Amino acid sequence: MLRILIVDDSRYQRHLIQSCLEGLGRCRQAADGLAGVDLFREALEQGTPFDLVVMDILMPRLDGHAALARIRELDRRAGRPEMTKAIMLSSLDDPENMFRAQFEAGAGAYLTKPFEPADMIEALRALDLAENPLLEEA
Amino acid sequence: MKHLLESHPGVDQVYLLVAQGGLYDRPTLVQTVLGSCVSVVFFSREHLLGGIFHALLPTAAAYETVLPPQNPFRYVDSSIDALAARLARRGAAPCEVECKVFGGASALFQGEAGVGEQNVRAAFEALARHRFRVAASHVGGEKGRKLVFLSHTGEVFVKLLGSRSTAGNRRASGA
Repeated sequence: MLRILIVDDSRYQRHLIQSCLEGLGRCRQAADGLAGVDLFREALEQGTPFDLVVMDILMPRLDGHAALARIRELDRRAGRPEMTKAIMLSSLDDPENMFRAQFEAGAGAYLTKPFEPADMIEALRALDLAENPLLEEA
Repeated sequence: MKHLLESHPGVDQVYLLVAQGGLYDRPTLVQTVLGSCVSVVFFSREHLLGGIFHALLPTAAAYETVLPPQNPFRYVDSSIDALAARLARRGAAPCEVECKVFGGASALFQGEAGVGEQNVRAAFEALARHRFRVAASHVGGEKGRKLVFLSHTGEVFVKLLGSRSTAGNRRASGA
C-alpha cells in the first residue's frame, strides 16, 4: 500500500482526492503547505516516508511551490536515492504555474482542477504508482 | 500494448514519428516516443475527435525564414496552430477540447535551459493563446517517454523509458 500525503486547504477537495486514491494506499491530509511539510518531516523521522505527495498551490501560510521545495530539501537531507513523487493539483492553469511546478519545484505531473479521476490514474501510471499496460512489455 | 489492443479491437494503429501529427475521427491507437520533443493530445468528447502531434523544436519563427512553415508539425507552436484550425473546421471549440502535454525531457548543462524546457514553455503558451485548457501535463525530467494515445476515448498511457516497474511489486508485497 502506498503512503500518500494530500495537501489542500479545501476540505471538499481533500475529500475528492482521497476518494480517488484510497484504494491505492493510506492517505493523510494537511490543510496548508506548512502543515504538509511538518507531516512529511514527521513521517521521514519515523522511518515511514510518504510515497506520493498531492499538492495544491494556493494555500494559506505556505503555497504549494514553496512547500514542495521544502519537501525536496528534506528528501535531499535524508539522502534519499529518489525524490518523493509529487503531483501538483491546482485550479491555476496558466503556463507559468504549470511550468514552475514541473521544472522548478520538482512535481512529476500537474493536474488542473476540476480533475477527472481517470486523469489522476493516468498520472499515477506515468509515475509508476499504478499498474500500467505499457510495462507488460519487455 | 497487447492488453490495450485486446481492449480496443479493430482500432487503427499509427506510429507517430518526429514532425508528424494529425486529427483522427476513426478509433486510432497512436504511439510515439519522446525525448526532448513535445506531444500535445487533443480530445473532443462531443465530436469524438482526437488529435496529437510530435514536434521537435519550440517556435517556427526562431528557425524558419518563410512562415508559415511547410511542415507545421516540426514546431510546437505551429503544430498547435494547425490542430486548432483543424478542430475549429470540425466545429470543436477550444472550451470543449481537453488537452494534455507530454515530453520535454532534458539533461541540464550547467543550469542552461535545454530544448525540452523551451518546447514545453512553447506548448503551454500556444495553448493558452488559443484558450485551450490543459487538463494534465507530464513534462520535464531526464528520461524519455513512451506514449500511447487512444483517439476515441482520450486516454493516454505513459511509460518513462529506462525505468523498471515497481508498482506491481509494491502491491504484491503490501509494502
